[in-house]
Amino acid sequence: MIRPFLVLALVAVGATAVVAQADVNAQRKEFMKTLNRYGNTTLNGMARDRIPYDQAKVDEALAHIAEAAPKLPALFPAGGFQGPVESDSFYAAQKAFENQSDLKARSDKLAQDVAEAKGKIKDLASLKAIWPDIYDKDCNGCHKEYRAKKS
Amino acid sequence: MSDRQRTDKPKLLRKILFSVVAIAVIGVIAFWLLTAPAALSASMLGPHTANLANGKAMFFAGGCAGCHATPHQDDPTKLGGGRGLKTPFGTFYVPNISPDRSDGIGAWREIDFVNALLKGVSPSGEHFFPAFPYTSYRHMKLDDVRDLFAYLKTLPPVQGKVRAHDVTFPFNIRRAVGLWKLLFLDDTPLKDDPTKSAAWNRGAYLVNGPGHCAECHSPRTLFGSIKTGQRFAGAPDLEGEGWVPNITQRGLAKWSERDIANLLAYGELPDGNDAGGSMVDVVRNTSKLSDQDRQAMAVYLKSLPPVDGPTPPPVKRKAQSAP
Repeated sequence: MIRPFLVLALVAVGATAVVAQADVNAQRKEFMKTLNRYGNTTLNGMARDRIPYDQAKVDEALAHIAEAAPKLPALFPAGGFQGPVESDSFYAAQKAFENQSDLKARSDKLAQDVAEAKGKIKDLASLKAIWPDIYDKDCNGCHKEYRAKKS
Repeated sequence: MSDRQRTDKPKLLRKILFSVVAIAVIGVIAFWLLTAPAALSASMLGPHTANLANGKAMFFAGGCAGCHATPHQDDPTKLGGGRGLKTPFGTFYVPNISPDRSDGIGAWREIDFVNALLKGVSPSGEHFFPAFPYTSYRHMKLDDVRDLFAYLKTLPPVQGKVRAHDVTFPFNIRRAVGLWKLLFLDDTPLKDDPTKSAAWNRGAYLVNGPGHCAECHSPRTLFGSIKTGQRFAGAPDLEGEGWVPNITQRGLAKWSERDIANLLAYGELPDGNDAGGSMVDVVRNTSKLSDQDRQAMAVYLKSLPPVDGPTPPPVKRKAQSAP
């Protein structure tokens, strides 16, 4: 009598874990997409003379990145590796889920770099002098280690 | 058994033994001769005034820092080596090529450097393992190699010898690389195609020579040689995880020359994303080339006919969110 309920309960717990895990994957994708919008489309776009310089947009982008950076390590929970998916051309490499200390160090560095940059980026020249280096060291630095191409 | 038969048996055995030994000795001598490292002699180097600006461009085109830069630091001009390159044959530890006289290449003569890049032979006359991509660098022009050497000598000396390779027998037999070179290194030099534009030819040179793009972007045989007919057609990423894409028109059909040049300048992908993984280091180098050189590489790459390469592993899941 109890057994079917026990089985049902276990299945429910398991299902919740799967859904929670899938939620982290979806959250991570959303997180990176938003960072891409601010760090790449906006800030790189301005630094590469693709879109006009806009101080308000720069400040908004930097503020968002500074706020988001500390949330990054939690998006790579231990055991959370899922590998490539059909819908995306990139995926988080297995070792991203095995290296919390490195992810924390990197996200702390990103937050710090962006906080320092906030007061200093006042025009296109200062943006070009400061942002590409942060993008390369912090964003690319992490992507080099942890972002894999599917095909 | 007759007396005659009794004396013939040992004679026959001796004859067989002698033949076997003779064949073995001939085999070893043949192997030794065939695998002899072929080094160029210093007398072939005429006078040359080093062009350091060109040497620097070759440094970035060749991506030397990508392998040789001291790990865990940001300065690409510190070439202390030490990085481990994992391959199916074992791990190769990248040497110190800073101008340090005892731990780097500070004591090398110019001809030593020329032989390293164009012949894959060390100053002591031994074969380098082709983990060092002289398989591509051998296409470089002599003057470019000489300029590169001059530029390297202006970089800071870095102390520290790098540990020996961790490669298992029989892959650690350097002399055997001579056989590998005989079998797999086609000696046809890279020549300009007079029917193509100057930009195309420059691009062909940069991509196939210093750029050594095919070394990552091509599938390999069991022997570690690039699979004939599948150059640039994609391969598993040996450095990390995932796939190195097909960059023939099978893979880049939707890319314009401008898209390719943008990738080399910024790591940008046409969909607004950025390349990650092993390409990050490549772009750190190609971003330092001239616009003209990147455009030339783009022209050449866009011209590569479509080639089917290996299929990337099947994907198990549909999407990031719950099914």
